[in-house]
Amino acid sequence: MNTAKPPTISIIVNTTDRAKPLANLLHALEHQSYPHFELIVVVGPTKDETLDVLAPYGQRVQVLRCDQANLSQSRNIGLLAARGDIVAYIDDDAVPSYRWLEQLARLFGDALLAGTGGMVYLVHPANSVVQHRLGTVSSLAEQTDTRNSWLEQLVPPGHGKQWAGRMMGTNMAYRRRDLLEVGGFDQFFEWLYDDTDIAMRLVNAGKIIHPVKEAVVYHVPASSRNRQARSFNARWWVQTKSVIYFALKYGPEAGESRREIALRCLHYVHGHLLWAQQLRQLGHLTTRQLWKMRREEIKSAVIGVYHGLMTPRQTLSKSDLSMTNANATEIRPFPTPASAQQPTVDPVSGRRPSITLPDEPLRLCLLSAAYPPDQYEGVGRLTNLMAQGLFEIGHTVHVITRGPQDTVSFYDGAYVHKIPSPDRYGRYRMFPKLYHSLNHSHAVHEKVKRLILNDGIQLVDSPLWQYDGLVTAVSGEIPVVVRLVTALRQIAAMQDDVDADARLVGEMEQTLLEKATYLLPNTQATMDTAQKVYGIQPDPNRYRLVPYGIVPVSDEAVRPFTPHNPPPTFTVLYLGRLEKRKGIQDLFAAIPQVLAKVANVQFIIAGADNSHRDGFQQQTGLTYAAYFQQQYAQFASHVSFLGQVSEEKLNQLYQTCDLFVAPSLYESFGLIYLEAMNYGKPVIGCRAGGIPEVIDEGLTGLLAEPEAPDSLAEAILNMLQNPSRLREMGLAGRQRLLDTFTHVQMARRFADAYRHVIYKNY
Amino acid sequence: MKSTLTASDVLADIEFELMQGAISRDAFGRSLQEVRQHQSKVRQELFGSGQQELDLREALSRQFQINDMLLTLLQEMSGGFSDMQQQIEWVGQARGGTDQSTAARLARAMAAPSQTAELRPTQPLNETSRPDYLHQQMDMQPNGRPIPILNGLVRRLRTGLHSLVIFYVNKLGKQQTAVNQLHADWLQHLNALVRHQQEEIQQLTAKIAQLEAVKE
Repeated sequence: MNTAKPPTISIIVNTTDRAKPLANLLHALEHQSYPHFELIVVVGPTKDETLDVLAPYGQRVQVLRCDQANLSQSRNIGLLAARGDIVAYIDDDAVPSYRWLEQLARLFGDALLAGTGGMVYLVHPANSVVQHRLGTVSSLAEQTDTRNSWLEQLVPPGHGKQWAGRMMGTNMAYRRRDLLEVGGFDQFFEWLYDDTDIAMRLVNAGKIIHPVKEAVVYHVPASSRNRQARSFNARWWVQTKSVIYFALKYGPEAGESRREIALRCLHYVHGHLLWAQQLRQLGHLTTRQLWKMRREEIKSAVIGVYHGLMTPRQTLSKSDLSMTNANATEIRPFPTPASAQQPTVDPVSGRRPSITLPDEPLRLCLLSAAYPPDQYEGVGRLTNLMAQGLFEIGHTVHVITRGPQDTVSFYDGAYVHKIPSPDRYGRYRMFPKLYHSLNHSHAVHEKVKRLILNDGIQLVDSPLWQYDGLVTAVSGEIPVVVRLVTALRQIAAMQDDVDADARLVGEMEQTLLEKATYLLPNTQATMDTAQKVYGIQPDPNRYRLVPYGIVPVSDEAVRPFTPHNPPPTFTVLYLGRLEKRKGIQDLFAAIPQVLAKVANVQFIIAGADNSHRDGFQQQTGLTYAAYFQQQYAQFASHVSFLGQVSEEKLNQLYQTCDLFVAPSLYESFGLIYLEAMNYGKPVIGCRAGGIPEVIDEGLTGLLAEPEAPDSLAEAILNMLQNPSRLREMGLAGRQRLLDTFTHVQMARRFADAYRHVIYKNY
Repeated sequence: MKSTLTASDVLADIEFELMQGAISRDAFGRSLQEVRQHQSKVRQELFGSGQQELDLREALSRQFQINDMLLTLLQEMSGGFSDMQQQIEWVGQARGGTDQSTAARLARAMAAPSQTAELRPTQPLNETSRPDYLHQQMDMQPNGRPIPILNGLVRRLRTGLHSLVIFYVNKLGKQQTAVNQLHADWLQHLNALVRHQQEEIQQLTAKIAQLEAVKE
């Protein structure tokens, strides 16, 4: 059975005036895991540079022309020229998942299957949704686009007597022989319902149509002559004539009464007229557009009735069919040996890193429960930086994060999959930290499985924090590497918060470390701490140090200190959550000592107050800011508390400060120091955790002893009393960042480690 | 639970959930139920007391609809198997089939010929849930070693106390028996349901085998 020749596939793309998205699709098709396919592009009456986009591909792409702006006609032209056993249609403004064709070929291994197609995700900046999944259509043209399972709505939800599975035009594939047998697409459908009609016609011819959840396509809607993307401005009346025609053709065949068919048509037209009225009231349509829509609606209804009743279907004629390559089997494959080395492409902007890769790019999945732009916090920010860096060096990155529903967007170089967390571990509800993290980890695993099947991900990278990758690591289905960051067991111990919930979470973190394929600590200190806190003894061949990095700002944004023109007041910036672990109390105690010797200092403290969580409020009854103002009232005018600040404000604070201070009792790495160095600022941290590996003491900043306010005050004074050092250390920090700690350098280190894990196959 | 829960308990639960995710029959069972309900509704509509004349066209169209639903069920089952097979293949490739991970174990379990779960016999359940079961098991007479001289008095005292105990035990027993009966009814109902589902699965499996034979 395995010796059978793999089926050949003809991908058919129908395009008009969409050169840019088409270019994205062509790049994306270089990355198909299934090589036995040809590419046919049928170009409509285009006015843009579509042909220029196609020209560099030469003989690799078969370019055909369709004079009419008629999608069904264009689809038929492609079909007649196709040579593959299977014809797969994809829109010009979509990109397929890596294993799209492989999945389709697998499904067509069932000799009885005539048509199939997978899920379509709408990749939209404001409205990402599952656009199509397991669709159905009735003999009265009622459509269901998204369902969770075939078994959902098994009893038809509408009035139609006959229901059939259907695929969306942007992701549908048919056995070429079967499609030709039923005469191809009905050219009455110039746009919309062409996909629905062909599915119903094949079903009525006794063929099997079976849409699936796999073989995913990402749809990035672009404007066309039929619609203006991301607006209500479209030729919706085309739908009306299609629906009426459809109901009149299929209704009688399925045993629908004339009354049912007439009611369905009238309801549809009435609904459209009401909808247009609502759009006008909401200001989405002008009065002129409203009247045009009404006029076209009625006209389309009449056309639909006439053709539905009076004319035969406009499928391929016998003479058309005689011109096909019906018996041809040899295809001219689209992929070349160089295809595998092509870097990934941003399906939205079309940007591709301009680099030449020596090896095939990797397909990676990064996990982070919180992720920008919805949430900016430590692990999410780091994951975002990794994604950006990995994209820049050509790899395909998928990020899985929390969200209210299953959606996909493309952000900063990565496909961001948001997933909800269904309640699976309800029995642990009394341990909220454990309960939420386990539910999410399981939901992550379900998604990982889909990404393995569709996008061919090779590795999962999970942070230790919230152990997102635990269930996947337990399943053993794919290598899981763990980014060692400060985790809950450690924080709980620091904050004396070791209840049963925290204990269990700590045990889960430990389990993840034990089950992980490979560990990636950011510093040696992190690794040593993990060994101490979790009692693990990792094999030296099972871990590698990967220091982090950030995106360097432009040189114009760098603001080093100017000793020849010093400010009237020094600004010292503290950034981070206000909590015990971050050393905020030590800074409070150091401030009076500093002000006693250098009076012209202003301290800016930015970050969320975490006093209700770290036990400070329970002890004192005050927030940190209130505590300072009460205990150090005479110094209150020298300290500003800003609370949590926006990304924009944050950058402004870095630019305007003269010295950056973060006296954390522990940081596994401390990206915040790099962020300050990015703007040419000297930094002060503590001799704890991975901080000494980031701050080059005496060169880019100074180190104080942890939990020692005197030492901290001394370091601050040392800097402020020698203003020339502020400049020297700031510039040295910026240089060190550019040399060692950019996000691209970090990504290269991660990619090397990933490649080691993937190809060494632990 | 709070004090005794350990990481290995949670890990066992994760593995259980992973297994469940692979073999979920809930949706399938619900769908069968839906088809049945729909069929009853159609039957009522077509043959109910208010109907004067049977519309043959309508009846056939409804029958086709139900056939479609059953075909969908078969299709879904077949798709599910295919998905699982693919997953197993992938796991096999990824792990070389040598380790003891859940996935590998699951793959081996799935590759083994499917077996119907053994249902427990219902006879003990019937016996223990009978109302007189408690009385049969209860010692209705007080016992103990006879005591010289005072035996008569002691025996009367014991009998009195025992009667008192039996009075309360009876009272509690009646309530408990009612609860037992309820549990037993439910268990038997579930048992029957599982048995029925297994039969249906076997029938459908045979049907798939038939279809595959036709295909080959």
